[in-house]
Amino acid sequence: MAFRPLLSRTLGLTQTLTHSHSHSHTLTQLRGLQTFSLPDLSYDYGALEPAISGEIMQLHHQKHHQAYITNYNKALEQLQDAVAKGDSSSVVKLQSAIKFNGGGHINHSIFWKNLTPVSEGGGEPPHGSLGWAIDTHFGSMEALVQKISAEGAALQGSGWVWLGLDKESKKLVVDTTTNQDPLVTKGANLVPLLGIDVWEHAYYLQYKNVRPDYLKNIWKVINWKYASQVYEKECP
Amino acid sequence: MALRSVSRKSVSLGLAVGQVRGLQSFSLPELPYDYGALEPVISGEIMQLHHLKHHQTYITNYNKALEQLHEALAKADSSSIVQLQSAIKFNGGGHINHSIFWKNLTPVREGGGEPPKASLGWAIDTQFGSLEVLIQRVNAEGVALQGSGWVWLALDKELKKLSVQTTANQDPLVTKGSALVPLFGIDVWEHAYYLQYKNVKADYLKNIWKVINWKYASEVYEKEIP
Repeated sequence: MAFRPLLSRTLGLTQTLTHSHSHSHTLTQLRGLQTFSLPDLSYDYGALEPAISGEIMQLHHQKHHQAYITNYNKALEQLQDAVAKGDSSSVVKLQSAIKFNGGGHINHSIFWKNLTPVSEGGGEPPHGSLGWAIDTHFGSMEALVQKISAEGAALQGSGWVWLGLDKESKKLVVDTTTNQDPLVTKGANLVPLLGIDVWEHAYYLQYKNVRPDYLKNIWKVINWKYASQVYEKECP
Repeated sequence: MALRSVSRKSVSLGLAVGQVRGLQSFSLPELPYDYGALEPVISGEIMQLHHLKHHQTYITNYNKALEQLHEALAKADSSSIVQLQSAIKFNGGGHINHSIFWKNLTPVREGGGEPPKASLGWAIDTQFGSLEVLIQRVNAEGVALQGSGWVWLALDKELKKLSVQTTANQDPLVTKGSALVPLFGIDVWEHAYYLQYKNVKADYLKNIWKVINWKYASEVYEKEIP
């Protein structure tokens, strides 16, 4: 299944002019406004069963992720207007909606790539440099899994648990973020290798209140190949 | 159905100085209605999970954290005392909030949804214009809440003013202002509605008014403003 592009560029008007017109000292800028659209999953909704039900995958993708995108686009449009008017009050007020909905779009776009059916290698432990780095930093794959699962279970409220790479120090880290905060809000050098959504909508229909069971089972469909690709790009 | 008391004082024996300090352990309060009694507004499945699993877990973890606090205090272990505050706030808040919530709901045949009269009804009309306006406000705040939390109708007992507030996660209303008294709270964590309403939080908020216990809210109001 082909990916629809993560974002499609719709230019509001023509491109930005870099030189002012010879008859005017006013710089005429025409800005493009990027709108984002829902990326396709590279597997069917039911392909991650029994780890994650098809019902959850469909709602999560078509309702939750789509809503973040819709609201992100709306907030960006309002931001564009506010910036054009020099309306700082609105510009600042919009940051909450942009962070939340933009973060939701970023995080879920990563999440779909972090999952893959068993038939496509879901759950197969990482080999190569990432596997080695995990053993070095955490002792073993099992220790890492325990750590992520524990942090995910302990997270108060809604949020995400991440395996991240500090691209400066080249160190692996396990971290959590609240609500839809992207990993980068925890450190500008952090690159997400793997994120697990622990919002209740990610598991409730199937696992009810038992978040630890969701965390225990999700490892069966984690796409370590993708995590390795991201890692090797930063640490060639 | 009688309410089991919210707390049961159990006494632990004292220390070298002969002080006997009590450690209160908390227990799950009973609902004054059956799990299915709020249908079709809130399903029996949700009510049962919400009460027996979610609320119970907050209580279990609250008791555990308080026990650990008790030990840390005895050892004057400030590092642990401070570290425990997160678990106490979250789980204690969860217990406080859900205990209020069960009283904020009541079956239709017990008066659920019947608008407040008397002083609270008058205060709402005066301060918000009408009950409909208040409901719109509460729903809008509930829908807009990012992540997990609660939306409250609050009474500032000093200013004698009503307000709509939200709190994040399990923060009790009092964290928004020490003079704030909750008249009612609506849980907007996904577990409060997802099995029935899925992602459509707005529908949950639209429907819950049919089972809101305005009688209880009025009692709380009249106690503060006799």
